[in-house]
Formats: sequence, C-alpha cells, structure tokens
Amino acid sequence: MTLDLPAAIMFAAFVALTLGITWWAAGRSTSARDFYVAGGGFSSLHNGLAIAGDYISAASFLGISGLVYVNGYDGLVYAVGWLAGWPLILFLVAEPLRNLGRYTFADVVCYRLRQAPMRALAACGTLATVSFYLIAQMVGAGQLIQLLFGVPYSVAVIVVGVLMIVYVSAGGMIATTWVQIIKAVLLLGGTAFMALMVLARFGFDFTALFAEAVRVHPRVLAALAAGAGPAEANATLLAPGPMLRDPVSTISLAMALMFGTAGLPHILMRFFTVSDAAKARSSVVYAIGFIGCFYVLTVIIGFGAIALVMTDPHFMTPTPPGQAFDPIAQLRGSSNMAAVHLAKAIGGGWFFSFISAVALATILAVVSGLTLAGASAVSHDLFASVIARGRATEHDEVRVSKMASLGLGLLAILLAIAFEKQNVAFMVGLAFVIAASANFPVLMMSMYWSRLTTRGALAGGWLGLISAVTMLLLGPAVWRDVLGHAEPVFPYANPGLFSISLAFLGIWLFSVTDRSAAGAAERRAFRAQYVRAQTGLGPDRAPRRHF
Amino acid sequence: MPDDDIETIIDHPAFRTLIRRRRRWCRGLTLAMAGVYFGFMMVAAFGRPLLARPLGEGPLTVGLLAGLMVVVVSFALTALYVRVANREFDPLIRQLSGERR
Repeated sequence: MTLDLPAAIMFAAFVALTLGITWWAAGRSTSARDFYVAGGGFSSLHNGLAIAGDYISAASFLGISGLVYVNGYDGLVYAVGWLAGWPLILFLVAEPLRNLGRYTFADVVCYRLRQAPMRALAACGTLATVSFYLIAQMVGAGQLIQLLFGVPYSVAVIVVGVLMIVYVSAGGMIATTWVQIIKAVLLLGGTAFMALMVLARFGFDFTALFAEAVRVHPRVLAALAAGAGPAEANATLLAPGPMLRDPVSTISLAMALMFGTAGLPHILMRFFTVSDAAKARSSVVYAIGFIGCFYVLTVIIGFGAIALVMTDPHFMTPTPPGQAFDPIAQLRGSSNMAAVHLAKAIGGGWFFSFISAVALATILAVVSGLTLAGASAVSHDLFASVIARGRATEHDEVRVSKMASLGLGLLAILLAIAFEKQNVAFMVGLAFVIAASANFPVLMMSMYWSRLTTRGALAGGWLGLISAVTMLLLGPAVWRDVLGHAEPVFPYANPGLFSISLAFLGIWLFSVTDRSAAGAAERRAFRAQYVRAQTGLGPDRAPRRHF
Repeated sequence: MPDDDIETIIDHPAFRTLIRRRRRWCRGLTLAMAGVYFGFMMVAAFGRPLLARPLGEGPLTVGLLAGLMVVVVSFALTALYVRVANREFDPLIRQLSGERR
C-alpha cells in the first residue's frame, strides 16, 4: 500500500486544527475545575454535541458498519442497544448526578458513603472500563492509519497514542470538549451525506437497497446454494444471525448495552460540564437526538457497503489461488474498513479522505475523553482523596493527572498491539460489560436505595468488577483469541448476565446484613442526599476540597 | 441546623408533590423503555422466526421494522419526559428554591 496524498493532507489539516484548539485551551484552563469539567460553563447544545461526540466513537461508526457488512441484522441489534440505554440515563441518572457531583461519578457515590474505599473502587472500575474501551479505539485507528499511509500497524498505534497524550495533558477538558464538538458535527455531517448518497443510488427506495444487499451477500448466496427458499435465504441477512444464536450471550449483551451506558465514566463526566440539572437534562435530549440519527445512518451505510462495495474488486485483496472469492475475508484492511471503502465508492478519492480523516479525528477525540476520565480517576479519586487524604494542592492534582494520562497512553499502545485482530464493535461491547457490572449498580443503588451502606456497596462493586474482568479474560475473546488457548475456560463471550446480577446481589446482601453504627448513620444520611438529588437544594455534603 | 433545613424541605407540600410525580413518571417511563428493549432482545434470542417473517412483498422483514420501532419509541419517551419535566417538575423546584432565599 502506498501513501494516500489527499488523505494525508486532510489528516494533517485536522490534527493541526485540533492541536491549535488544544494550545488555545491550555491558555484558558487555569484551575483544576477548568481542567476536569471546563469550568462547568458549556451550553446545553454544545454539551449535547460533546456527549454525542464522546459516545459515537469511530468504533461505532467503523464497527457497526463492519458488523452489518459481515452479519447484516446483528449489526443493527448492536446499534439499537447503544441507543436504548440513553433514555434510561435521562429518566434516572442525569439530573440527580448533576445535583450531587462535581468532577467524577465517585463524588456522587461518596456523598454519604465512606470516602477512601469508595473512591478506590470507583477509580478501579473507571480504569478497567477505560482500558478496554481504549483498546477498541486504538485498534480501529491503527488499522485505518495502516490502510491510509501504508505504515506498519505498530507505528500507527504509537502515532495515535502520542497525539492523544498531547491533547489531554496540554488542554484538559476545555480542549477535549471543543475537539469533541467539532468532530461530532463533522462525523454527523459525513454520515448523513454518505447515507443520502447511498439512498440516492437506489432512487431513495429502501426496498431496492435491501434487495441489492440480499442479492450479493455471500451468506444469502450460500443459503440459496444449499437449497434454501428465497424467504429463508433473505432471513439469513435480514433477521437475527450467528451473533445472537446463544440466548445467554444475547441477554448478556442486552443488559451490558442498556446498563453500561449509564456506567461509562467519560460520559458521566459530561454531566458536570454544564451549570445545573435542567441543563444536564436538555444536553442529554440533544445527545439522544444526535445519537439516534447517527445509528440509523450507520446501519444504512453498512447495508450500502454490502450493495456497493462487495461486488467491486477494487476494494478486495486478490483471491488466493485455488480458493473461491470471499468478499468478507478479502476486504482490504478488514471488515472494520467497510465504511471508508464505501466513501470511495460513492464520493471518490477526496470524500474517502475526508471520511478517513474524520474517523481518525473521532478516534483521537474519543481516546482523549477516555484518557481524561481515567486520569481524573487516578488524580482526583485515588491520589487526592485516598493517597494524599485531601492534603494535595490543586497544582499537585493536575500534575498527577497529566502523569496518569501519559501512563494510560503507554498502556493503551501496548494493549492495542496485543489485541490487533479483534473486532472493534465487539471490543466496545466488552467495555460496556465492565461499566455495567462495576460502576452502574453502585451508582444506581447509591442514588435510589436508602438502605445501602458502604459495606454493601464495596462488596457488590468489587464482586461485579472482579467477576466481569475475570470472566472476560477467561472467555473466548481473550483466553482463546488473544492468548491463543484452544478452548475458553468460561464459555460465553459476554458475561453481563452473571456479573451484573452478582453485583446487585452483593450490594443487597451485604447492605441488609450490615448492623454497624456507621451503616445506620449512612442510611440516615439518605434523606439529605435525596433532597439534594431531586432539587439541587440542601447541604452539599459530598466531601469536597476547596479550589 | 442543616438537618432542620432538610426536614422543612421534606415536609414541604411542593417537595412531596414533586417526589410523587417524578417517582411515578420515572418509574413508568423506565419500565416502558426497558420493556420495549428487552422485549425486542428476547424475541431476537428466542423468537427468530417472528423477526424473519417478510414484510409484504420484497426483502424487508419484521425484524427491520422492529429495530426501527425501538428507535422511534426511544425518541417518543424522551420527548414525553422532557415535556413533563419542563411543565411539572421545574416549576415545583423553582418554588422550593425561591422560598429558601
């Protein structure tokens, strides 16, 4: 593969633009409050765009269109799940979270529970989620840069890692938020244009688009060759397929996608960048609008890729001698690249470059947001509250946060190299399982269940975190596909059903059996917390240091 | 004194109304959303033939329509919540915070 000049120019222009914003923001972020939550001063529309920007990662854009390209309907199921968690955040989480917290969701959990151990738990949950999420994004970026510039995968991953460390450690939340907003607008515009172009090819007739996809997809052709009727063959692409065969994994996936969204630390941080609960609410509403449209467009793009890319030999590597043509295995740069090939098929070289640059910028922006969330967990939750026990200065805290960004960046580079072969949308699904098992149960119960005590929250939270990570590591995705063992120890790709249930069970059991005086005091404190969560009034008792 | 303050708010009629309405709406809307989504996923897991059924002539299936309906329901419930929050919750919260100043 050779260097793609228009893509290189587009990419360089975008990096220059975002670095300029970072430099500008670095001059404006002077306090810890600026660095973590951009001074709490973004408008609802801006913040809604930034939430959407954080959420509609390139892993969803490249990953879902890639899943649709390979499996058809299964990709649509992922897309629907990634939207379905959002109304729940709106109804249950956004407003009380904004009323109770300040920088990280750990502030909320600590409102009436014991500081140090709860923050340690929240920080570990955050770091585990962020790490898995980072891997997915970095793998997507690595494959894309490799395809565009012809550099080796490891070099590509290192470039992304270094850029990300620069953005986060120099600019903090103001820079990440503006990068996120610009990128969200470009990505939404780009996907809308692509979907329109696809539909235009088929005279804006959905039936014609799907008919063409069904006509060329190898799975349908295989079913027809095996003697299936037309309706049955049609259903191999347009009804639940191989990823949804096993009910346990399907239900686990549903739980992980629905509850994981409300446990993603970098998303929860976005509710603190607005001034009050009403604004947190309206930013979520904007975000839901953008996210919903984006996923519908991405699914159209995926089916468009089947119809327009699959039959075009330009996008395929040569068929190995003695084998039949396979448009899934032979797609250049793996199925994750289906959407960028489609951009070339419908818009030519410059549009291809534009979409690639936007996808790369998306990944950079999302990894920056993730790294910032991870770094805040280390500096604000672990360092300032647990290690320095409130004696650290603001300056120390920001310095630790920058060091943590560096550490996370290096870790992400190493893990991305190890996980090169994984499907990115699937990897994001795994990050959601951890968020849904470790963060979501503790957060929900601390806001809504008066009988929760520190003992119960710790037991359930650790149980959820450790069981989710262990089952993931022993499951097919890591034990078999990355570590190379023949059979996974834990049979299901997605452990959500078990780990989420364990977390809630642990929280309940260890809270109701807690007879300590401290536990009783924590139960009494629920009333004040409840008033504040519902109205924003009352004592701001989350132990805060004064900046 | 903050404890007295909390008790005054808790006993305030506006707060009681707020909590009662919000609890009812949030519970109902959450159950509706979770019901629709988990219902869809349960059918995907156990009732594949239903989703595979063709929708009229041509390639479209019931499954595609069902997926689209989950998106439409998400939008509709979101719009409903915002309407209720702006009309019913916000005035009560404003009343409470106004009386404390």
